[in-house]
Amino acid sequence: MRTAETIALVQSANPIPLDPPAPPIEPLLARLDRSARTPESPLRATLRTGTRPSRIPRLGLAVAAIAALAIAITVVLAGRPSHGGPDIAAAIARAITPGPGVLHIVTETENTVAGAPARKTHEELWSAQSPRRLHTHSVLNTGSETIEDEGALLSVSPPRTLSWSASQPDTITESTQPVDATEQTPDAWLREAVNDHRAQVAGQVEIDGRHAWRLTISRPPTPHPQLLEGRELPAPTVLVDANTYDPLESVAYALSSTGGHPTLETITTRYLAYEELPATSANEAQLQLASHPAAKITPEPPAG
Amino acid sequence: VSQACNPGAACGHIPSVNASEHFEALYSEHARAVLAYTRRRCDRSEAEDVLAEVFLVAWRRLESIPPHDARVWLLGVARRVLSNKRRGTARRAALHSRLAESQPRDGGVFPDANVGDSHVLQALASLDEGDRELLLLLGWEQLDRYEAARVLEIRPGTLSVRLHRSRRRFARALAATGHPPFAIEPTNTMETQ
Repeated sequence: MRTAETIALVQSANPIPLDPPAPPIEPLLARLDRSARTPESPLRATLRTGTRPSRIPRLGLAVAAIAALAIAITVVLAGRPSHGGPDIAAAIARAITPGPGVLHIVTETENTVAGAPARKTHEELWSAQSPRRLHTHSVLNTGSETIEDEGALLSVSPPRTLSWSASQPDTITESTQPVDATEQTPDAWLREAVNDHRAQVAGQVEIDGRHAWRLTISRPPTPHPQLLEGRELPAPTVLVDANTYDPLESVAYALSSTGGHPTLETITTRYLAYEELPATSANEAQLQLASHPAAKITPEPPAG
Repeated sequence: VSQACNPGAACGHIPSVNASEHFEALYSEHARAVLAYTRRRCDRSEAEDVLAEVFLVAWRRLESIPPHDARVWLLGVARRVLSNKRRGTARRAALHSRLAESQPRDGGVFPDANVGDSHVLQALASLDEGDRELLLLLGWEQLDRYEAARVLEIRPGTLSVRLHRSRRRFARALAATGHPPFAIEPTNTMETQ
């Protein structure tokens, strides 16, 4: 059998012999618009996916909701007190401005789309400034599989990141691709939002026995508004502790795609821990990738 | 500030109208082929995810897409996106079962589709990924060997050598499925189609 016959035989078994119709481009444009406005940091993409720095919001995999949150809501907090109360925005800004220690954050995020099982992500993160470093560990549960990733930014200049995935436990991927030095923690969007003074205090609520301020977030105008059935997506909300002003929970919305049709994705993130640890050697050690004795460090493979 | 920037740059600028039009034209022209490529290799929902990722990469690198070779470029990205996805998951097994199925999972969408020869699908499923992908690019995507080489990021000469081996392994695998035997003619490894 010659090549042409082999190929013809393979061709005869093509399960999709005709090019199927492509989904509408609008949801993709909406995602592009979101990523252009508030790009996922290349570092975070690296740490999540173990691939080269990328602005790709990953639909199916590690859209750890914090990143999706940052992409989706493009939030800015309009932080003027709306009813004569304390300047909530200023208090939040103070609470979430990184200090000299090691910021430790633990979140649980749930991404839900009607008719599909929820994706749940547990993420623990340590970060420090001067020099900037970051270590994340996340476990994504899609309902059918669990994906565990870990990554560490060891240096912004020169750039060096390491990433590890439970799917390839014997490999630690080293990247020297440039990283975005401006957005590297999940609360970065909130800090930026506070600084832009665009949020509304919508009252006080109680969550898990704690008093919290509830904030609604307005969106900035965009050339490609995120529309679902002709309407803009609901406004995101954020809960912050009424005493410490640390973030407790956020609910954001994104335009997703199911079977090529735009659908509403709800992203709920709960902050299980938000604390700044003293810069002790033990805490600084948390900024390193966890030990994987069997893993070999390999350069990042080429990709898209 | 109105300042030109690479549409894929990490500067956060909204890209120019021309870039948007270029991108939409690219999608209009090639999305079907990319989706066909992905649906032949994974289930429908994942295929659409991969399609979106491919075009997000395309958006980032709009200026580096060869205008006369965009389809091959996009298929190369699709291959890498799929490969990255499979690294950490059990999708390889899913791919095998996908290939071994006698018809698409969402059969009915293409009621007139040729459901193929289950022996051939089983044989393909039993090959390693490199052998299989090469045969599928030539057979299912109907690329010529120079295009397939670019998708696989290898030289055409290397592809010819691989193709020779892949054909022999495929023939053995096919025979193992109970498919009527056929002769494997010795060929020049640089044979051209």
